[in-house]
Amino acid sequence: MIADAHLLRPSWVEGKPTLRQITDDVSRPLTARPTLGWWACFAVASLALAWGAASATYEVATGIGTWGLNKTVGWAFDITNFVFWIGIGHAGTLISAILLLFRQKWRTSISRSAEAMTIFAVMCAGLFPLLHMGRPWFGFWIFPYPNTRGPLWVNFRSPLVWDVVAISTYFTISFVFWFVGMIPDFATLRDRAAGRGDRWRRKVFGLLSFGWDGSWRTWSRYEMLSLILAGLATPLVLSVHSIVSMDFATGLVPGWHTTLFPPYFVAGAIFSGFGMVLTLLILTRKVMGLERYITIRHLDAMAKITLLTGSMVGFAYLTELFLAWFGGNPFERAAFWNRATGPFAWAYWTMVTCNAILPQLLWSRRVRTSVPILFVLSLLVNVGMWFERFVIIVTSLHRDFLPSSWWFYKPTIIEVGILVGSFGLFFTCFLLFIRALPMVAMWEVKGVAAAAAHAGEAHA
Amino acid sequence: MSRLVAVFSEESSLLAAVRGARAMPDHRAAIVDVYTPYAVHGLDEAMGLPGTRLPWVTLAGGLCGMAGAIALQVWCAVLDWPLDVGGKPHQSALAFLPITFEATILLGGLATAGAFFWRSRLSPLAEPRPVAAGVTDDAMALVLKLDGAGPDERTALHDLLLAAGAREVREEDR
Repeated sequence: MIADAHLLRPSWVEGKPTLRQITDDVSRPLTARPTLGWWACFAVASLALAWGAASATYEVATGIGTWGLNKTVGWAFDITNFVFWIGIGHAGTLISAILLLFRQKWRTSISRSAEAMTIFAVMCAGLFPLLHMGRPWFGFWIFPYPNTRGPLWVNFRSPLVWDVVAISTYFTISFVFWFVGMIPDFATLRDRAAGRGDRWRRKVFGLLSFGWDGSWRTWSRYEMLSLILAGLATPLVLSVHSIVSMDFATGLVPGWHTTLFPPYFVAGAIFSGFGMVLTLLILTRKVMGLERYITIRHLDAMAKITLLTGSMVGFAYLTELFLAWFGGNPFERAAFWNRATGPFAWAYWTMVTCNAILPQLLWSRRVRTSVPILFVLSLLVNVGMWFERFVIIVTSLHRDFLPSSWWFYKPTIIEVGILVGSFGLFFTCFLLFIRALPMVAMWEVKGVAAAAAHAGEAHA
Repeated sequence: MSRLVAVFSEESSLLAAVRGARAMPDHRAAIVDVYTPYAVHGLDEAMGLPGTRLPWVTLAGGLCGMAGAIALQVWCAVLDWPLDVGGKPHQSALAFLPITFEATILLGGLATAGAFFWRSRLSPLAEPRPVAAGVTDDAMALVLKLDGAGPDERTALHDLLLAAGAREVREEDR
């Protein structure tokens, strides 16, 4: 019966590499010259970043009136982008923390890059509320600190203040988790950089590795630290998007004022995040030559989570529609009717198609294991989830209770520029990350590879 | 201190050697430490290390964060400058929950990470002292204390380590 043990419990690393090979495979790209593909991606990303920086500079110098928010839709593109980027980050924490608690071994080779994605996505997200303030240099006013204005304190009953606390906590804990996870790998890279030309590399990784020497007493505590951080990050990540959803749900605007929002937003966040992880990893495994560690089976597993969360999002759309009809509130009904048939119907149906309908293709194993189809689907998920936030924000705001203030919202070139720039920032950071830091957690993969080797021996 | 360093390339040999060394009569061969490139499953039990107390630090940090956040919010919004916001009570305990929760997580996590670094003596300026080449790559090392061991015991230990599968055994003084 156990003859096919490797089928029952297959290895998550292809071709049984030795420990030394794992170190080599992961570290090689860090010292090799960047490939042409990397340079091409980097050129596009930094161009986008430059365009965004120029747009943001113009906006800060002139005022937020440079956005299309002078009438009715006071949040313009800005909060759509903010919620979109925060959502992207959630998949990283899910992979690194929640799957750790569930002892999912397949997370090991993708967790590092997914966590990096979280950090960069939260950085992009934080940019938008800051720019929306108009005078970003006063951004610190949102924190409660003794001041000469009374002291006048922030309003702790406001979800916007909760948001600030939740997102700064999320960023800090994610960063600590990410950094602590890299310390053993920094030590590996430090010890590899023994050549004469490697002085700087040795110095930098020496500082970053905190003097790690592989001592088991340290490992033992380290495992506990990872477990605790994972246990803390899990409720944290659920709270972050719940709080983001309360920015809407505590308002009275039709289409926002619903208790469905926290779970709906969390599912959507994980869904969009997995879309982004798939996009990134399908590209990087190719560009960095890591197909052996980020296998088709990893993509398959991620596709399954995308299918699950996508179905949850689809279910939430139906629940929203049902409650709008069944709740009997005429304003709510009008808001949803307007979403599906009004001037932004194209955005609504893009969202439904990309998020609820197309991911259903992932029921098929053929689709889940076909890299090109998966790549296209992952891009469509990103598009769909961006439109979800656009639909929630813009369609609810552009026609609220007062028909005299109804308006059609159009973004300006400056807003588009800042959105493009945020993608530029994200990809620039990610591309530098895969060049400068080990994008696969070597020590974790070694543990999984060794465990698989022993399981194989035991069955043989 | 005189000590014995054995280098392994397989975690099964390392585990066998650790178990063997601990089973040695009269326990002269105390294990100083083991050095591995990854977290070897089952090594905690094999070495019989006492469990870490880090979770208590998390609890203490979390409680501090919780108490601090409640104190800050109540003091600011109720005692120092009560503001009427939409007719809500000054002491809006439920509305203070999200920030309290986040502060609990934040301080719990930071305290645990800080305690870990402090207890393991890890810092950017810490000088690594690799016990054998490759313990951060593909080698595992077991370090035994040799003080007070006679020649017979030394030979027995050498034999035990080699029998377990050590690829290199050496004595060193430091």
